[in-house]
Amino acid sequence: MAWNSQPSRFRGTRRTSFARRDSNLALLGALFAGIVLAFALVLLVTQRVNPELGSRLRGATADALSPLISVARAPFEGMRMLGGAIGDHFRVVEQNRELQAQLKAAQAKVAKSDQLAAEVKRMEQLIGLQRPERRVVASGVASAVSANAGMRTAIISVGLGDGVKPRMPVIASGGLAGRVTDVGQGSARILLLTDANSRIPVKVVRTGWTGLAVGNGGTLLDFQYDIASGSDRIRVGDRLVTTGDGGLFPPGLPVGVIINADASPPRARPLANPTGLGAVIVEAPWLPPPVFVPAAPAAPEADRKLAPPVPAGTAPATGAAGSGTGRPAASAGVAAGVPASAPTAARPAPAPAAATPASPRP
Amino acid sequence: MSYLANDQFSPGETIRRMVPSATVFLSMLVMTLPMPFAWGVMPNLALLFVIIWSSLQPRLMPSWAAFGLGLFADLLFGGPIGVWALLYPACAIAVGMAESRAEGHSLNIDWAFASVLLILAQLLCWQFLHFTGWEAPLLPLMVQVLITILAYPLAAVVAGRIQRRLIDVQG
Repeated sequence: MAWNSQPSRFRGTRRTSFARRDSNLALLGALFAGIVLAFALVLLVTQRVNPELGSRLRGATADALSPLISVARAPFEGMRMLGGAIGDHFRVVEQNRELQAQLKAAQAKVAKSDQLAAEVKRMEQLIGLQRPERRVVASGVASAVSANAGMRTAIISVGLGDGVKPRMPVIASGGLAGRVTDVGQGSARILLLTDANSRIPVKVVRTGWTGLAVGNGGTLLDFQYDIASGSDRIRVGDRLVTTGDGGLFPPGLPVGVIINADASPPRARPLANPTGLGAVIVEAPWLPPPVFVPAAPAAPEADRKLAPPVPAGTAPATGAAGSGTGRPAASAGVAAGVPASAPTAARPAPAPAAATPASPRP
Repeated sequence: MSYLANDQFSPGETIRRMVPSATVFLSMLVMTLPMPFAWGVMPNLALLFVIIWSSLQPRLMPSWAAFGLGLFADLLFGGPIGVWALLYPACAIAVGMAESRAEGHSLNIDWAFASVLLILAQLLCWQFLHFTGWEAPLLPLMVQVLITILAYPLAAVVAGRIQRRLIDVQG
């Protein structure tokens, strides 16, 4: 830029044109940067409006990443197993004694629980209880948790091609591991139960108190529950199992053990070690979400004098549709059999026009 | 910018121009590697390299490249799309603005500035995660920021070496 300082008419005009061009370019650059930022902001807002939007893309990325991870995880797994083997070697006598004591206690318990299980089965047969079956969709290997702050996820080696779909529960050898969030063709990403977004309905085995096991984003779970009545309290060593509430996780799966009962909420350690899940199975959602069919609500019985109330009948009908498939059809049959209430019992949207001339009829 | 755009590049030159983006890309893959640690102890290398490259070679880390890398990071990390796609270019632009105002560099000043930027970016990331309806605890993110700040000199040295080896070689 040294030649710029020489005053010359020719160079002077040239310089200003260069300078103008430079400043124009800088302005354009700033404008472009602003556009990029605005576009990113739009993406973010879109994610808020519809979080499911990029799910397929994420699955595809996991697919592309899967072979890389399976290669990269080998040395880490080896190291982990080696460490475990060395630790075991030094603790073998101690462990043996512990295990024998545990075995003795367990055998006594098993005898009792076998008896109880047989009893429960008999009772269930007696009342005709229908239990939804658990179904294994696929089994695969999970990579260790990715060291990514804020998100506790892992990638498993089965995907859409094996029938794995989002929402399905993933179970490791120790207990519940999490659930599938994104699927690729041959791999899937799972949300571990220690992620802060994970909420698992659980109950304390000993007391039967129910609550939620919420991940704390690190290694532990927070057991959030309402203080139940009674003088009992949560103790260290209490086991948490799934309740089956929400229909996603099958009931009775081991989730965690309380390790700090004084904290508020109590802390639990997950039984499936999230840093080394190993082999996992993916199950179908335990109780599939009900497919609601349009059915007329149950007709009120023996109340012909007054016009039947419109909104009162809707609540029981949706409950019935959720619990089984037989009852909505039956209630529809009943509604068809009572002609006076049939128009009012139909869906509220088309009903009012038909309902108003029907009510002053008697 | 103007005279660069009119130049003809050989294929080797084009590859060299992609080196900064490639390092960010690679560090992202390293970040997703399975580590047997429970906490997020991996430094946020990708963000670190975005900041360092936009300081060393601002023209090779333009805002649109940072945006593309951020978009890929969002897909890779499995979070909501748009968080890093917004924060990477924002960081690149912030570094560019600081560079145009401040003259002279020492490692300490760069380090301090990068630390501030990293903390801000992680805090914003936390807020954006909340905005998109994700639960994200603050503590692991702050632990990660601390480790990232500690990793800055190392990353700066690595970036400097890469720059000497691959970018400054002419012809």
